[in-house]
Parts: sequence; structure tokens; C-alpha cells
Amino acid sequence: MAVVCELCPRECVIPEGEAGDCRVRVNIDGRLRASTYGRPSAMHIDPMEKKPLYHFHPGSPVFSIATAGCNLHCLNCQNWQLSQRGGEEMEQIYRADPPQLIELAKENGCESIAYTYSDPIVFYEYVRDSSELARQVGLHNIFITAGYINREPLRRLCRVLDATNTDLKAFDDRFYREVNGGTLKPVLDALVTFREEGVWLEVTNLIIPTLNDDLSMIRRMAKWIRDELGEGTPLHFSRFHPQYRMRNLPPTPGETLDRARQEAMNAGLQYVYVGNVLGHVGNSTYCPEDGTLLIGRVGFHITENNLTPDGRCPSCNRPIPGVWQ
Amino acid sequence: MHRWIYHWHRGDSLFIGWVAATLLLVVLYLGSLPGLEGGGGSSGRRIDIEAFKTRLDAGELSGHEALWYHPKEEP
Repeated sequence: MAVVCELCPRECVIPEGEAGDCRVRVNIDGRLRASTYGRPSAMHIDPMEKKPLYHFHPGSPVFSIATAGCNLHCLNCQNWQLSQRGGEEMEQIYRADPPQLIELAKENGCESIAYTYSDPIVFYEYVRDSSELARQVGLHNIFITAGYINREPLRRLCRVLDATNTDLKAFDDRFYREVNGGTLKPVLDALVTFREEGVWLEVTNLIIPTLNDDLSMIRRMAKWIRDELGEGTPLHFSRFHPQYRMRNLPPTPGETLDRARQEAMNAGLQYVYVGNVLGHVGNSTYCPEDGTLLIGRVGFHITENNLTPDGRCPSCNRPIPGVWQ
Repeated sequence: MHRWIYHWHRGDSLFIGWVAATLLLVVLYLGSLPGLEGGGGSSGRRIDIEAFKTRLDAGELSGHEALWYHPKEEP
């Protein structure tokens, strides 16, 4: 019997012996199997800044995992060898059921687990069970996603999540359809849900030359973030590098990132960053009140942290939004 | 232009036919690629089910039941 997956907006109708569009949720004998549950294909220890999360436990190590599969098909995917394959196609599969995953994170001195690299939406059950166990031993749960998920499953998952960096790939439905194989509205809904459910939220926008670098669109996106998510929501503009099926475009020029950052700050966002550009002034956090350097960064490395222990500017005592302790 | 219209040759028909066939092949090829369009109602994706079952039986993949699905009602 065919089944209908309700997890993401695709709502795939999956006949027996086939998978959803994500390649990893498979119908076996009329039951949908989460085939990569406890079977990650990538495990690394990353700094928090690599996620990127700049306002959540800065400088702490994060045990980061991913399984095969994804429910989007971005032409510029950075992890396509992982995300655009099913479990049966992977050379490397580790066995790490939730209790083992928690042990691995603790053994390696990590304070958090990040579900990342591909899109953890497609290994939802593994995230949920691992996150519940992680919570019990004081580990934080971080969800790095493109946010293409239905509202109710996300709302349930938010109960065990602590932070997310969610991609907002463009403020344009046509871009989502043509470049990512998705749609914009569910992603906006997901961002609002994270905010409503109290999960610490940062947003990343990868700027691709000629495709989503229009300043008027960036302005509209920044205003939407300001109005719907709050002016204190960190926004990361990230530099595109040609890869996978999008090798015909050049890397994003530095001036484009500078202009985007300025446009978003003009729209009222207070913490706007530039990523994938080493040593850029936009890597660091400044007080929106008096411009004091709060956290200096070079790449993923923190060069100085001047925040007070309770997350305030040392000069003007303004509270800086984030989860600092 | 005038000469071309009024002095149609068999070779011209063959050329037009060749161009049309090429376009048809391109359209068929593009149509066979996995669709990028998002939205609801996607159909299933065929996988190498024998390879899948082999790795499932070996424990390299999991049979853990998923959440968030329901049987499709027959019409």
C-alpha cells in the first residue's frame, strides 16, 4: 500500500518499495521507514561559529552529524555527495543510535550536538530521539536547516531544540522553485515557528551573483525579518563559491556582500554578518548602541570576547540578544 | 529571402526536420530529468531496492518506523 508522508510540504505519495523525494524515507510493506535513523554518514567536531551561530555559546565545540538525503535539491549544494544520495548509495555509514551519539558527544568534550550538513528534516525521528536524550544530560541541540518542513512536525520538534540557523535562500518564490526545488512560503512559516517556540534563531542568506543579489529583494527580506522575527535576529550573508551544478557563476564579489550588509542594517537589523570572507569586518559582533567591539572573529576563531558574563555591552550595559552562558 | 521562399528544395525540408528532431530530443531529455519544482504532491522516488534491502538486513540502514505519515486511501 502506498503511503503519504506528512513531514515536509512535498507530501510525497510513496508506493511500496520506493522512497520519498528525500531518498531516505522508504515505504517497506506499507510502512514508512526512516532508513537513516542512527546511521549517520558524517560526524565531525566543529566550532559553533562554523554553523554559523554567533550568539549561541560562542567558541564552544559542537558534535556535528548528518545522514544521507535531503528534501531540497539546490543546484549549488555544498554537500551534494551526502544530500543528493540515498542511504543505500553511501560508502560510509556509521552506527550511532541516540544513546551512542550522546556518549560520543560527551567523550569528545562537546556541549552541543548539531544536526546539520544535509538537512536534518529528513532524519527527523533520529533528531527527536537524540535531542530528548541530549537534553537529559545537559547537551544543547542545534538544528541547521533550510526550513522546508510542515508546521506541526516542526512545532513538536521545537520542544527539544535549543538553537537553529535556518537558510533563507532568497526572498523570492521563483528562486526557490528554480534553484532549490522548493517554495518560499513554508520556509517563512518555519522561521516564524522557531521564533514563536522560543528556539534561538539565526538566519543565513547565501548571495549568488545575478540570481539573488538584487538589493531591493535584500531590502524586502531584511524588513520581513525585522518585522516578523525581530530586529535583534542575527542575519548572516554568506559568500557563494561555484560548485555542483552551478559552476558557471563566479564567487560573490566582496562589494556585493558589503552592500547587502549595509542594506540590511539600514532596514533596521542590528546584527548583520558576512561569512566565507576571512577577516571581514562583518565577521565580528558590535554593540548597536555605541559600536563597541563585543566579539572579534577571524574565520571561525574568536580573537576577543568583551561581553559581560550576562551578555551585555561592557561600555553602555545594553543587553545583547543571544544565549551566552 | 525571396529566393529562399520560392525555391524550396528537398534538402531544406531535411534540414528543418533535423532541427525539429533535435529540439524534440532536447525536450524529451529535459523532461526525463528529476523535476526541481517544489510544492506538494510529489511522487515517490525509485531506488535500488535490492541494494537497500541488503544494507537493511546487514544493519547498515535502519528499519525504524517513521513518524508523520498515513496510508494512502484507495479511490
